Amino acid sequence: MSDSMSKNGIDDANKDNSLSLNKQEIESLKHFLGSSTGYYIQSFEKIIQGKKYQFNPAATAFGSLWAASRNIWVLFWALLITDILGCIFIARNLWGADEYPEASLTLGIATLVLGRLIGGYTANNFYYKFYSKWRITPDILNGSMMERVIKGMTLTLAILPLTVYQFSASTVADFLETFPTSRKIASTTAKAIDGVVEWLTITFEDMFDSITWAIRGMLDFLELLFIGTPWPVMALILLLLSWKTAGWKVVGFTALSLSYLGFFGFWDKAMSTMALVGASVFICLIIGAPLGIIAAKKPRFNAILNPILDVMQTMPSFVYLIPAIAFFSVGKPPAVLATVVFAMPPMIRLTALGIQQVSPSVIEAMLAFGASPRQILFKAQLPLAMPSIMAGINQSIMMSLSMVVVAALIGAGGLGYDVLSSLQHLDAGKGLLAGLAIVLCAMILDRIIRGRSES
Amino acid sequence: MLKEKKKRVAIECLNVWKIFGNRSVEALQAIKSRGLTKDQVHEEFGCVVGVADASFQAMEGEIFCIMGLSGSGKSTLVRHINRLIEPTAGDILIEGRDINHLNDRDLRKVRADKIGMVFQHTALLPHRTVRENVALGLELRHVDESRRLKIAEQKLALVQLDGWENRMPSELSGGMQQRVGLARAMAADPSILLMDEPFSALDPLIRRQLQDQFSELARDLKKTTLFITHDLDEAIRIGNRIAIMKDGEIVQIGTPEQIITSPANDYVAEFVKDISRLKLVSAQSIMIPLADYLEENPLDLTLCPVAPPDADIDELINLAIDHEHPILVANRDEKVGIITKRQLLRGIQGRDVNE
Repeated sequence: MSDSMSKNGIDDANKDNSLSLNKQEIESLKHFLGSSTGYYIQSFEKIIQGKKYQFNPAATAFGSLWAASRNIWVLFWALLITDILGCIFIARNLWGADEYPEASLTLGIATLVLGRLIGGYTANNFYYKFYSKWRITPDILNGSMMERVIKGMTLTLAILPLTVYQFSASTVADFLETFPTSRKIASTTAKAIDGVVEWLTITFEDMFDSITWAIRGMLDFLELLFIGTPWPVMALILLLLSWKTAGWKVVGFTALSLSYLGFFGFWDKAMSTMALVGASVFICLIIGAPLGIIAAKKPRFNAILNPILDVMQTMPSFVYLIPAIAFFSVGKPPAVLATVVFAMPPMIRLTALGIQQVSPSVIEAMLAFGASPRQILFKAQLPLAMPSIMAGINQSIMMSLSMVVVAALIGAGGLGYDVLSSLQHLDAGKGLLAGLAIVLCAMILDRIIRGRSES
Repeated sequence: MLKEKKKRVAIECLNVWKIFGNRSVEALQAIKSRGLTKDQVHEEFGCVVGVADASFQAMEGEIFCIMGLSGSGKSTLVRHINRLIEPTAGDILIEGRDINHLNDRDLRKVRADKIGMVFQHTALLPHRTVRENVALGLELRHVDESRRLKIAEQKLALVQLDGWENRMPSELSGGMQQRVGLARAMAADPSILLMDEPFSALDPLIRRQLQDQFSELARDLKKTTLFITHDLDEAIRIGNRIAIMKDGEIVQIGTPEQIITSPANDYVAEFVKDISRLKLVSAQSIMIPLADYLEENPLDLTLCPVAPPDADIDELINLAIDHEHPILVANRDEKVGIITKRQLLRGIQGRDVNE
């Protein structure tokens, strides 16, 4: 690409004593530019002297390709987009897809010209900035100018024609509208998965049954504890807990929340929800904390665990219901399991983080006094990671409570069921009341636990 | 010096090498067979030489200072003594026992019973009270709770921190925290103390106080101490002997006076240059033999003030101010040498008398 619109050579530039680039810099600049050195050296001089906007004819004429050849990819994409927009408008005029063809033609030409003009006036600035960066890290300039032009052309050819065609043509070819595939691919795969699930359910029936049995046992015990205990006793215990851990303000808040639950008839359901949350968080803790400890100590285990946790955290919570139902049918135990899977990642992550944050000098001191790995874990790492672990428990509780409504879909019952049924019956008032009850449960637990980790 | 030879060796390092990096063994072989420099090792093997062929002996009850600038390998070397760092090559003997061949359990026992350690950044457990921190070592050895807390209190009294037992470490000043660290190191009554730049992070006044306090304690308790410092003044104040390290190598080992009066090379000489010699250089190292002096200058020795051979320059100056005549150096009744004003002044300067 030829940029040498200006005829001024380097010699002229060197003669001028007022230049702010010295000889050495000009040598390196020449190496940087590769071609049309005279023009750009002069232009950069002007930029250094404060004259910011200059017209670059080559950039205007060749647009994104000029930017590609000069390695300024931000400008490349910006100019490519204005080009595409302009072309779309013009093409709509040509193919008559528009109601007002003249308007779109004008708009198209205006977009194209304006884009190129802005590009032309800012090109040298972009280029100078890139040059400044290059002076600090020379390896950002890669490939020859020819390679970059080819790269730019390939990108333009891959993107521009199809996009313009799709947006401007009145009828678009089928293969563009939808991804060319057959439904069979998905259905056979799904069937295969079904087969595997069925096989697993039959083969490991005993195992799934015993897990269900264990969780049901725990839930029954917790429900007995929460619901079976007379409500005044339960309320007193919760108030005492908040006073012990967080002080009078939180006691007031807890009292108000509990009376809300009582007066609106949510007490039993709230307690059943708390039992469910309690069971889930307990399982999260006994599985998540050890995993977190191992992850903190074994980088390789952490490397495997991390992507799994990422998946667990990004997966929409509804998805967890599917395997839960498949293996454990409906009811409270699968609801607990789905909640556990959803609420466990923060427990693991925050435990690992807390342990990793323990200062190496403390570990060294423990070693120097003859501590065994177990003693280091229990006497230094775990106590020092406690605030972080508490935050993990807190997070798990919050996520479990947010899962309550979703889990109600597979029979978790409790407050979530109220929200769900009012959603089905378009009963806004009842649904909001139940929703508020869930929020209050969450806040009571949050205050109590946060108070504990802060004290 | 003679007295020290009778004492037993408490810590002995024999040709200890520590090379950091994945290819440390290869690198060590290359150093030994081809004599590579540290830079070459770094380039060729990507390994860093931490300690190079260090050997020394620390006697029972001695305070042995290891002095060097940051990066000289002194902290690395001291961590070999309780095997917080494993050597690439070489042996470390604690009271004659090779610590590198201990299994995990025995190693923990040696660390707990024999070796106390004090760290530059205290490394106290922030979630425990001062008393519980001091009791840590005993707790790790499963000493009964009431007994270990009682011992902790005694040790805290030893470093004059009685009354602070129930505070948290964060409530204490830096100097006090360091004293807690010292009490913690002494709680198990180990025979060896490792002190890794314990006073470096403190301000000069507190540092000096702690140095004095520590010297006093060390004299009373007679524990073998390896004291790491980057401050030659501190090493001289505290140490019976000093090892000077540079780039992982021990450049010179000697008493403070030996190091001051005859530095092994320019590097040591550069350090020694600004050290006050008043308390370190003794009469015997600057005097001239009596016979030599009398040959040239007849003198009535009865007029001269008399000083013992181990009198330091400070005392000699006091004598010189009060008397006109040269100072006679006498070991009991045996007259051995003469110190004129010229020798005294040269001695203060640290230059040869004949210059």
